[in-house]
Amino acid sequence: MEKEIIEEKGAEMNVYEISFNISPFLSEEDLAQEYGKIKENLSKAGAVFISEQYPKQIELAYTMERVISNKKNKFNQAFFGWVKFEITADGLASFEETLKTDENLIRYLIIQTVRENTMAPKKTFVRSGDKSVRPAGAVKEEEGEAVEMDKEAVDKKIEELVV
Amino acid sequence: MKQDYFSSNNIKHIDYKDIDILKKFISPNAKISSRKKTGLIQKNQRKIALAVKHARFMGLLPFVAK
Repeated sequence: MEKEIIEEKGAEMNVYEISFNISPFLSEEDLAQEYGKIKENLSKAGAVFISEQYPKQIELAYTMERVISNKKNKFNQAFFGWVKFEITADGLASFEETLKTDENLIRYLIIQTVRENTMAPKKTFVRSGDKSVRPAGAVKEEEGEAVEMDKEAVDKKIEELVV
Repeated sequence: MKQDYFSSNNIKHIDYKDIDILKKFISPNAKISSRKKTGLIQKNQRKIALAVKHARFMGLLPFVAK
């Protein structure tokens, strides 16, 4: 009975998000390969992808250190990306093992999250004193005037300008 | 900020990757502001504190500044 409950728990899918800092010394191709490798390991562990962001270069807020093959490396930049996915607890544990041995990863963070997009929508501010944005009423008035103008008067003016 | 920022702007989730929002809740020295200053409800204050700590770990925000 107990075993069954444990098995059920292990089979339950949860939504997680992994973000990672990949070494900035990688070339574009190597980066794509590294990112592909992470995703491949994820799908091998039985993950279902929800959303992702391809790694892009960022300036780190502080210098990070990471020992790679017995040598201390310092990083001021990194490729930061994230993947949101659904996976079982067992699958996640097996996936995390692959991350620990990955030498191109500076750091990674796995958190449990929700399926929806958690990023707040960006606001677009309009300056109160901005003259380029006119209220809709003002534009209509101008259009009305243009239509009312006498055609002959317009022709005369054009002739004047041409001459 | 007297009112809760997240309730008034109708933001349901607090994400550690959203550093523009997180920066509103840290001091110039990059300390997490107290609830007295942020005006958040207790639940969101806890979330923001955790989000700032996650962002610091990933190098998105500094531990100390200046």
